[in-house]
Amino acid sequence: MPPGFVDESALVLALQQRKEEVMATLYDRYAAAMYGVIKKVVTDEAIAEDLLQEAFVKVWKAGAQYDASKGRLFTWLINVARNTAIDYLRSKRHKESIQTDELDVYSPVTERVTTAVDHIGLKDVLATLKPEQQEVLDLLYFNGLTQEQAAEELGIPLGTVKTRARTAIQVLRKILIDKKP
Amino acid sequence: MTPEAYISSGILELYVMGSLESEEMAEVEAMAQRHPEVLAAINDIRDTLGEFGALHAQSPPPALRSKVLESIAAVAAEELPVVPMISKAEISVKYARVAIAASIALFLLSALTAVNFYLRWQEAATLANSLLAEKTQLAAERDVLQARASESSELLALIAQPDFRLVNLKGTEKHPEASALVAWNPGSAEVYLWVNDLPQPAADEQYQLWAIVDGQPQDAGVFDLGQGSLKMKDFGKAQAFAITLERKGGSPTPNLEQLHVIGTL
Repeated sequence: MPPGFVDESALVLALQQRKEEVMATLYDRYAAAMYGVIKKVVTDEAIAEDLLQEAFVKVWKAGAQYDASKGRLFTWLINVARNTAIDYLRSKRHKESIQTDELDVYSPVTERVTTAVDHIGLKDVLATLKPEQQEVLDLLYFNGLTQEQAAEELGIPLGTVKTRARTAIQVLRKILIDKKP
Repeated sequence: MTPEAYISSGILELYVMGSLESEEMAEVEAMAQRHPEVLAAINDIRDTLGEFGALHAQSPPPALRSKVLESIAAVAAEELPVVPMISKAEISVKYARVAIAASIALFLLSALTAVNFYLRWQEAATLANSLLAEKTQLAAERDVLQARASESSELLALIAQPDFRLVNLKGTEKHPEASALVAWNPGSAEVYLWVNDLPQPAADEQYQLWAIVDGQPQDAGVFDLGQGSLKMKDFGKAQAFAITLERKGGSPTPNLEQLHVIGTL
């Protein structure tokens, strides 16, 4: 990493000033996290690669508008990656729904919620979540369902989707944010 | 709904994950604008989910790096003709502003300088005028002093000659203030007169000097006042000198009623 790009604010400044070389630094730092999220959403490797590329182009294009007051750069990058993947997933579903004219365009929950627990940190984290919390999180965060779709999919009321999502994220917050040095 | 109840409802989590309909999203955004604690909670959820997402990190294939960077370079290259144009326009606007500001500043500066110079010039002109007047006055005074000095030196020169005799003409009873001085050289017969103080005569009158030779007054010449030393008629012989006021041009015999000064040898 170039010595100038030590912290996020330096990266943000370089991004806002349209310094192209910052993109290599961003890639080296965050590509794995972004790729991991995308891969988790779309599962297909080739598509995930294309989407990562798309996500980075979006980062470059929107970089001048990135506002540090709206959250951390890291969070924003993960969001861009996730949203790129979710958008892809949604448009694919949309096309499929037109083609097949089927109401249930989602693959069965059991198939979809297959979290690759090969990461020790991730395994520990997921172990602290109740299965129903994991389920809601997967549907909303990685599959990009709306709350109605999730409620329908799980056969639970809308309010329950909300509370489960909230408690799941509160558990994550405790582990991931509060216990951070 | 209070911000606290709103935060704990779980709607913010769904908002961050993009699981809300657009109507509800707008509602959340309005709440976040009104209540800083709602905005803080949203950012908190974003960070948590970001960290959670990052837990799934997987290294992309190494070849992807150059592919991604190349596509960014391509996009950046497309931007190039636009970006500099915008920045050039911004720069030119900026420079135009700077130039306008600079010219205004320059104008104000030159106006101030002009006013300053004008005031100084006026000051200098006034000073020059007063100096000129002073100089003229001084020159006049100098001329007077020079004239007096030359008179004095002439007088001194005459007095210094051993052959000259000085006759002090004193005021009569009628004219006690009047006085004059005659320097007479009996050898060369030269007679000089200095008036110290005589009343100003009327326009048709003139003073006349008389030499008293053997008891008889003889005309020694008429004169006007303010002339310094006056060369009068020559006399080889005299016992006294006197001045009377006569009609203009002088008289053959003195009017003794108008005798002003007299001095005997």
